[in-house]
Amino acid sequence: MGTGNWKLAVVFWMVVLVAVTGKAWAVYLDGDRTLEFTGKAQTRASIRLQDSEGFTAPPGISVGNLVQWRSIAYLEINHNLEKLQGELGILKPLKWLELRTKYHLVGRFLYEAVYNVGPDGFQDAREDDEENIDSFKQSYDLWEFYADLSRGPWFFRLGKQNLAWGETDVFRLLDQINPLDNTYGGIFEDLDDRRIPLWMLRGSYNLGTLGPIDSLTLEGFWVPGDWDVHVSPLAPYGTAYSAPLPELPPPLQQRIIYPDKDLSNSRWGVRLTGMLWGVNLSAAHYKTFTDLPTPLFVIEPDPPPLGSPYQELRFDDVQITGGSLNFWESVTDTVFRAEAAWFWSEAVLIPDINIPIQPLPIQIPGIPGIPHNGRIPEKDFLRYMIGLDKNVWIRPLNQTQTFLVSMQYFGQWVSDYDPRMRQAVPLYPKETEFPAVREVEGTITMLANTLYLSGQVMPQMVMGYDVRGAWLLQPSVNLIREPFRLMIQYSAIVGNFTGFGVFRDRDQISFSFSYLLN
Amino acid sequence: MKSLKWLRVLLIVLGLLPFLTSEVPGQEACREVIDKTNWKEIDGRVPDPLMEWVKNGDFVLHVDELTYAPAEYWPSFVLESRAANIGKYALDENDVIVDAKTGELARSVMGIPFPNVDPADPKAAAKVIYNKHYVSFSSGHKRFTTNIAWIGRSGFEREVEGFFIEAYMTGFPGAERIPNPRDIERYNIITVKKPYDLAGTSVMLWRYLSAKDDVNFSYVPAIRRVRRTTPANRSDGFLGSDFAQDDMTGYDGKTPAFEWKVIGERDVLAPYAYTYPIPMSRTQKGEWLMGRGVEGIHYAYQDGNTSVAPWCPMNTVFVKRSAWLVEGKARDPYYNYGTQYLWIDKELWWPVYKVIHTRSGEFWKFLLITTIALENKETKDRLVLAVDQLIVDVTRDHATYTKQVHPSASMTMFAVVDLNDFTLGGFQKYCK
Repeated sequence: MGTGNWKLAVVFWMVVLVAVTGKAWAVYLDGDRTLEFTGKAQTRASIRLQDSEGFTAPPGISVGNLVQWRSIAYLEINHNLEKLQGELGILKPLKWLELRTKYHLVGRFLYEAVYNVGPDGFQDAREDDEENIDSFKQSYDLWEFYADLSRGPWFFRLGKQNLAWGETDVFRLLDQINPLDNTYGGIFEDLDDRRIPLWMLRGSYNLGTLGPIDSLTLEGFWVPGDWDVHVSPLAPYGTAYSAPLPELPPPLQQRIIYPDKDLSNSRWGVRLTGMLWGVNLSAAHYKTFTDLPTPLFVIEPDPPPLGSPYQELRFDDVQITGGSLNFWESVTDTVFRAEAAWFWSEAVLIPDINIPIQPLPIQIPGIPGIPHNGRIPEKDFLRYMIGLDKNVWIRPLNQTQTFLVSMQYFGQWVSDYDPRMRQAVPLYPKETEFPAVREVEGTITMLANTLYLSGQVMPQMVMGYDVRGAWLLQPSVNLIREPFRLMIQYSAIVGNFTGFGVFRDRDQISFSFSYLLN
Repeated sequence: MKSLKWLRVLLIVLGLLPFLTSEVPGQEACREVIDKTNWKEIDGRVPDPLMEWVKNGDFVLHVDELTYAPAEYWPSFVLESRAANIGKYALDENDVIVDAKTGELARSVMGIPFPNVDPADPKAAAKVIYNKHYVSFSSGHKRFTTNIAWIGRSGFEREVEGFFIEAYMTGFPGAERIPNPRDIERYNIITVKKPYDLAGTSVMLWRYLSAKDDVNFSYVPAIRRVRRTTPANRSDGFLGSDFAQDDMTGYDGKTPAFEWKVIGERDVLAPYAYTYPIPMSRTQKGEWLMGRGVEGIHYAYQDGNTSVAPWCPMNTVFVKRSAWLVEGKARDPYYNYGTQYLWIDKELWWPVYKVIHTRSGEFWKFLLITTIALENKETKDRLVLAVDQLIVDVTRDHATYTKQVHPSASMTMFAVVDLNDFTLGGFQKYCK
């Protein structure tokens, strides 16, 4: 038998072995069950159900094309060191300090094969930008790695981690501490799968009961800017989930300005939480970086037309002050939650200011005008959410499990509104016209799911509606047959080219197959 | 070529591993085996559903006698409470425990609050339920692992492993020293350890001594935050299993949430894991630790036994006991169960069976709860606990069991716990 056949035989045998045993193997590596090894492997394929339109690149992608074949594996170690602290000399100081310690480590391995085996458009995009896309399509990361130390009211989590504050799902308000990776699945991916862990020092102190307030906790975090200034990556031009942006007309070149690794670019924040008369309350202030960059024309050196024009995409920092609350209302048996956050001096796009263009005396197709040096204006935003969660019995549909129904309304108001404010994706076919940002924006989300067949089948529906006329629909079903998972998901965006509506030509059906190590 | 030879050897060894690591059952000899040929011998001695299953061949019962007197297997303060607490406590109009003399909330009850229950007392059944709750508090704070397995007619379907921490603010001497300004009855945290896609899911409960509703929180890794959840959803299936949250240890909800009534007293064959106490030890911190390597209950599907239902417990012994038969009806009109009947051991106050009806009155589920006794011969520590449970849904011909007793896990009683863990800040430790 050749080597290749043996490899297939090994894989086949392992799959049969696991399937026949009917359950995954236990993965505690010690008799005291303090050291656990676990993980999962997943492959996900998505097929486009619409033809590309407008500025979406590559243009030839059409119905039936494979747009995603992503394989990802997580290997995870969790180790509770409390017992070892008493036995291992190097850890004894932790015992003397009466610290409870454990650590958590996750390795992530990702490969996107669509740029090798997908439609010609993606393969051509790779050839045009080989180094960048070859780097983009794969990653092998120490994904999470942190240690927990606690003693009495003190708790510290130090290392590479995710942290989410606030009360929102689907979209983020007080939950923008970690950047998001929208490059490999866009907004169709679960929010948590898109979070990028950061090297962070985080701590909390339980102040206990103070007067009428229970469980009062002060929490803080710091991502030293000279350790980690990761921001949301941008999908290279021509990749499946890149924003619908036109190629820059020559001589304009693009460059992305990432925050420098400097202490001044640290993320940091503090939060106070507690419960008062049955209502969970929190107040927070933190500094982070925006998920999306802001464009800016820079001409080097001045003055045009002799200078080199660049379209810079700058990730600016923003400070956010806000609060949230939740409570359970007994008469309606509903959990209500709300959140409000003030975004201070957030960078915005006002084309006349950011990317000023002087029209040519004679119009030349493909050249809208002469770019001039711009600057980035800033505005304060108020963003808020009110939502509810309710478990509902719909017995004709399900006699044994409730339906979880969750709804949210997100609002946004711009302080000192300027009617020239725009979203940073141009309106096809005009490269210099952009959808407007209104003084007040709103989006409604709804989620509903339940369980059938002893929890082995979970249908779910997620909907979003931007009040300016864009709908997101995402029905899915998850199937369980240990140790495998199969998810089938349909994702569609219809309506106007605004908000998430800019991805309205990316409808897809996805199939995700996972194997869980335990 | 040498590497290929070793690869073959490795594949063979890996192929054998699942069979080598399977639990090998050991069945003890017992006094009597009841099966479909002699089912009449248990007529009236077990709930009707169980008798029917024996009659139709789905179950086989091993009847035996205990080698010890379980009523003596309590910590000393519980044994003393059987005299000390007579007449000490009462129930108010909301079925909340109060001091019988002052009418004030009973904040620190040691042992069994109502040792003598008069079946003619209109609140007798509620008192039985309180006794049931307080015997679980009497083993102090606890840490333990529970495996929950789904079983269909074709056998094993899936499994969830959860780690439980329970802290009681009443019911045992250690609780008296804990400041309790908010009148908490108990805290608990459940963290799912496996499977991978659920691992990290954690729920926290704050339950109050008064009739005040529970406060529930849950952390879901998929959203990376702690969310408030309804405390009223306790009849919903737990993670899609046949158990509802309230089914744990027979009934895990607040006593005032139900209308209770004593139907009568019954002799019953109650399920026990062993006819003898199993060993227990003490840790350096003084915690009581159930011994490792104890096999626990195993089920027919694990033996490949197809002559009975896959979920038939093969090494449970059924022992003659006396029980209260209590009827419960939820006050919540949306509760998913109809009338329920609990068989509760008269000496131990642990439920042994529960029969659950639908809201329209049809028989729906049957719950069997196994008792175990533990003993430390050196220190004379003794305890009796309700452990592994099996629930069968007859409408779906499906079952789920919970397993606290198994070779690789250990239950810790009178555990040293950090109450900071049960705060919003401390709960973060259990969140990925």
